[in-house]
Amino acid sequence: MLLGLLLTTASYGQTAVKGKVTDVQGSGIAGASIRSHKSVKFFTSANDGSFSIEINFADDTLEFAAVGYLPQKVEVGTIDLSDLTVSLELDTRLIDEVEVVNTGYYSLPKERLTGSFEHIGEKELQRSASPTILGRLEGMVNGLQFDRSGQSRENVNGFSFRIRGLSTIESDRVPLIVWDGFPFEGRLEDINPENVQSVTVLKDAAASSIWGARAGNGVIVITSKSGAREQVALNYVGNTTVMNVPDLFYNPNRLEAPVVMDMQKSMFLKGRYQEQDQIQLPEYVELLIQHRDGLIDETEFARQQELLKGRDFRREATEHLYRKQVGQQHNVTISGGGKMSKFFLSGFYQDEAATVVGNDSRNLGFTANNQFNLFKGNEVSVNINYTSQRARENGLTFNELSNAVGGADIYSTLVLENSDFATVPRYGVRQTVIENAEALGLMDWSYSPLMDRALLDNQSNRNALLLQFGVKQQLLPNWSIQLRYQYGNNRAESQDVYDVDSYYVRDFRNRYMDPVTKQSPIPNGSIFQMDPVQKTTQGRVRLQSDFNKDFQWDGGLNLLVGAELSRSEQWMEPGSIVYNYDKELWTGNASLDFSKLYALWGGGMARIPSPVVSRRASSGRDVSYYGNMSYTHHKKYVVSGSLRWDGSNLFGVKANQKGTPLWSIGAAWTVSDERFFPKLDNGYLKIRATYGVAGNMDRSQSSYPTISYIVNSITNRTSASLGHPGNPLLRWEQVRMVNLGMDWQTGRLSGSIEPYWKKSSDLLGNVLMDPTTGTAIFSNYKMNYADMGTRGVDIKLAADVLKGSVDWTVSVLYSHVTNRVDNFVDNTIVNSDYYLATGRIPREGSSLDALYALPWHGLSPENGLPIIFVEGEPSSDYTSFYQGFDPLALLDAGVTVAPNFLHLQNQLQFKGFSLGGIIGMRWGHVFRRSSMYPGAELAYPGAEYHRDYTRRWQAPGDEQHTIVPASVEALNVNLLNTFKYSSALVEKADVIRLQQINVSYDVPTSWSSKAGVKRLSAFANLNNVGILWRANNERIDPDFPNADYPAPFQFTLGLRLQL
Amino acid sequence: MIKKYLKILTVCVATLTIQSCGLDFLDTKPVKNQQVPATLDDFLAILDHTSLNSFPSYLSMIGAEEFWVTDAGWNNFPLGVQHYQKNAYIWAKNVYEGASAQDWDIGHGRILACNIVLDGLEKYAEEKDKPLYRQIKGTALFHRARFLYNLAQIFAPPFIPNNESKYGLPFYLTSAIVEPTYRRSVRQTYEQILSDLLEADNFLPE
Repeated sequence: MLLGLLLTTASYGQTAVKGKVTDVQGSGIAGASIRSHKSVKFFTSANDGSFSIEINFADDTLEFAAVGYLPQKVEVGTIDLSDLTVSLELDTRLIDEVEVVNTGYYSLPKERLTGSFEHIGEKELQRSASPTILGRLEGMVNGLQFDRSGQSRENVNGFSFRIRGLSTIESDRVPLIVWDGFPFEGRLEDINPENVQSVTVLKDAAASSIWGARAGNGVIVITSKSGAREQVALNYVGNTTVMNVPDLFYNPNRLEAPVVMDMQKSMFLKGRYQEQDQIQLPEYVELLIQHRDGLIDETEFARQQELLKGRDFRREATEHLYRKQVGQQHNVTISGGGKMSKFFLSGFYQDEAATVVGNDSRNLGFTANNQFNLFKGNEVSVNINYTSQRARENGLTFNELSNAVGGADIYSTLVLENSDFATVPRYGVRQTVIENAEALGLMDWSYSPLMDRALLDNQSNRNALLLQFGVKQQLLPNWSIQLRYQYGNNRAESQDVYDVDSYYVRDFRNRYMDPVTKQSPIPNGSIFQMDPVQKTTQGRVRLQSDFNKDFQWDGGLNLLVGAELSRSEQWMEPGSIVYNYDKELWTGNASLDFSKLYALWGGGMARIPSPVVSRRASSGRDVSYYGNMSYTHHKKYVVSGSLRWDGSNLFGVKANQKGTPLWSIGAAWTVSDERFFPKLDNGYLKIRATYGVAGNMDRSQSSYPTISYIVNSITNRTSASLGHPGNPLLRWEQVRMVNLGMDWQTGRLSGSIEPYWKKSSDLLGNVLMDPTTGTAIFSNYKMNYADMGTRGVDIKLAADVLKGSVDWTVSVLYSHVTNRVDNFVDNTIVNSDYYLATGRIPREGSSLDALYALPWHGLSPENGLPIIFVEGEPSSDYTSFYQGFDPLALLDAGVTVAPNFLHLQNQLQFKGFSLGGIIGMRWGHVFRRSSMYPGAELAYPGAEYHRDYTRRWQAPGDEQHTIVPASVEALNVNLLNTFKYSSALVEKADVIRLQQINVSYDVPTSWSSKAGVKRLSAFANLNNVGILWRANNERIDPDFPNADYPAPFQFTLGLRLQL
Repeated sequence: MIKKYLKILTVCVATLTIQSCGLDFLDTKPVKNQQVPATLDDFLAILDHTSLNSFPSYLSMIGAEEFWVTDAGWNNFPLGVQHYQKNAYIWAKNVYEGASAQDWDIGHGRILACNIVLDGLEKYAEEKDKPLYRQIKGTALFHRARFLYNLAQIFAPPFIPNNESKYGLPFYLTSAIVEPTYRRSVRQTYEQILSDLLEADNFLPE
């Protein structure tokens, strides 16, 4: 950012010095500073390193320095002044660290920064094969924590993440993502990781006060590749990824067929099953009924019973519903530039056949990043980015088929012994009805998963376009101005075609079949359904002015001010449903009578569902004013400050609440440049501190009541529904942060230690208000109810263990972070169930991630049920115990997010061969596991099983070695919960995991050039390799405590070449 | 020199323009059909809302024994939000078991809507002779009385002249809730209902 300008002054008695400042290879260094000690003058070298200056004293000393180089002093008196060449040596301290950090608003050399930044370069990003850029950061950024405990059922590929813990309880806690200078609100999949040059993570107050209210949780700045001058390169990267089939046998919440059948038989004999047309019964129960009613004889019953006992639906599903996930990706880029321009063009294609048979996706993308220098001091950039994704979800999952709605049991099957497709029970219809369908005048009501899957036709499309235009102009040597504009346009839509033979249509027609007339208003044809289309457009404008000045007294000032406006519009266009749809001709009928009440086959009356006709639009407007300042003195002392005001078009708030100010101050001291610092090999020591205040606004809250107008689809009358009752005491959240840091290097070791403290106040949350106020029905009602303190430390240690023909670097990233809720507005209405069942309810003095549990006293030797005390006395009244348990007496059983996490990276380089890996460790946290809850198997529908059934208490004495209670005759929810939420089921979540292994080989240029290729390399990545050690003895993966199975192993093989 | 000053001037002007239009820029409503209730039409629209008027009061239906279920049906009643209804059917000693009851929550939620309307009408005091104002005020008062009456049927004992119970209902008469309310006696509860009805009578047309 420093301009090369020659400053000359004319005065008498001058000595002229001419020459060039170069590096050890002889290339000129632009913008090197030249200070004359005695004359107290200050100059800079030109773009080619040459200088021509005049000094007052012939015996002066000149000091030459440049960013990234070691300074050098030259005595004027002793040398040839007409052609002085000064060669500066590279400053090898922290040479592997980035020299210039990009915050998205500006770039500064690392020396001039006081805040906490992490930088990940292209090479490191390529070591991971994760499809999203964020996934590639796992294990590489100190303080960035990935949390998968929220992944449930079969959604195992997602994750949430935190930077330095939490700052808020209920407001948006996702860190801000900035892409090429503007906040990014699209999907992460729209950013092609191969097009990313670098990622900078901003972690502290100085960093987030640059980006404003949304950056209280940290900022991830993504910079795209932009080409290089005076060269052209063509690159291709292709890879193929294979992921294992999910392990359906991992889930402990299943029991084998013989055991389940025994339970169902025992329930049947006690008359627990209602035999009604609208309630589906398990297949085995239907068999028992047939046997009881004499419809089948003994031998047939025994034969079918044996058949069921031998089945396992998990095996069936694994064979027919899942497959190995295979994906391939191709990236082609052309980058280069001339003297006055550079460009980067890229196209990519990716397709993936997911682990669920029938689900697949295809992505296409195009990027063009161009930069021109139209005239001196000018820089124009035009960037275009477009991605298009098409996905099909025509698969069935195990979870879908076997949950309460699905109805399949563990002994169900997908394919019969004679290879015909089998049927499974489905919600709301009894097998006897299905068998008599024709006689009753109904359509075939059976559900055959494999047959139906072949008829599924769902498709969804997404398009995202991003255009950026920027102009930067140097107005004066120290002053530049820039104007940037970004336009984004997203569209997402999805549609389904339900075939006339599909279960959906047959079931639909049957439900609306009039029992008397045997007519159904639903036509006997396919149905086309288009979901509401979602469109988003956004525009952003930024005007910024940068001022940089280097002073004579060896000081440097960087100052910038700017303003930004942004506007975003979101629409949801109405969907449509077309009945009697002809798949060939695309004709159909949409004019059914949607207001008439039709008689339903199952009794009652209902209207035909009409498509969503409302058109929703929402607009967001944001305004920001910001300023940043940083002053460096003697290149050793830095002082920085920033101030920002963010406003938003919040609704229903008082005028002075439409915005929030943020500010920060910081200081840094490069101690190793001081004279008193001992001379060490590559010695470096810098200490820094920042303090900042940031605010957070919540769009869903308002001080005044708000209503929304709606039109009733049946009466056509307009009315207004109350959206928010209004909270006149509403205040915005505030976060204060203190961050200290020490960066050091000596010899081959380097590292940093960064302790930090955050204090969040006036946090908004949905505290339970007295329902008498009438606000209990507003689930979005929040009050300022708590403060929270977060504190932690990030420690980094890196070592170049070997350097030479074999390079071996090791780095350890360790973080410790905890949070605690303070000043929680007391609430006496909340009962223990709220803390135990819902989670994330704050309690004063505890962490927000706390897991609460009931105390456990073992099982009773008499009946094998949990021992409880009510008012100090042993009791068996589980209802009074559970309902009356004082929330303050709940045990704080630990935290669900690891307070300690460590990543160990090893990277070996030998000739062209590179091998490395990351091991991740998390400890200090817990998770709640499931078990066989007493009476859970008796619920119908919704029976729950667990392999712990075999460990249950069965006879006195068993309480010595088991915690699983005896089975009961009747389901008592309070007894069930007493065991479910007890501390006995809380397990340690400590784990050591081999997260990633990367291997690559760069073919020597002598070989590759024979093929006409400049660079050729092959690489392989392994992800989710496996758990090396876990603390719990239940074979549960602690990183996926709530999911049906952990993310499967993934293997990627690829090729990279440059022409 | 002039060029330099011209440049500085254009930048300053541009910055000031952005600054002044910036704050007006924030006046756009985020959602088109969203409104802070301010006009009389807004208040009428709140009262017209169907879900306000047609909440099926589960406990009254169960308590009035309008239907019966089989043992198996009762046993298999789903757990969850409606669990209190299962207990209500058998007139269990502890109906709610610590959970909230929709009848209470929605019952009072409806009263809140009436209070918001009544509080909002105060700004229109000068219109108190116009028909629209009178219609809204009368309707709001009537509804509030009706909603309170419905709650009293479920949650309060009947009014017995010589044996009055002091366990009536707690309720709010304003939407600006700044302090907790208290439980009235049965007499006070019905007195409120009556006074709302009589006042409504003054405002509603014949």
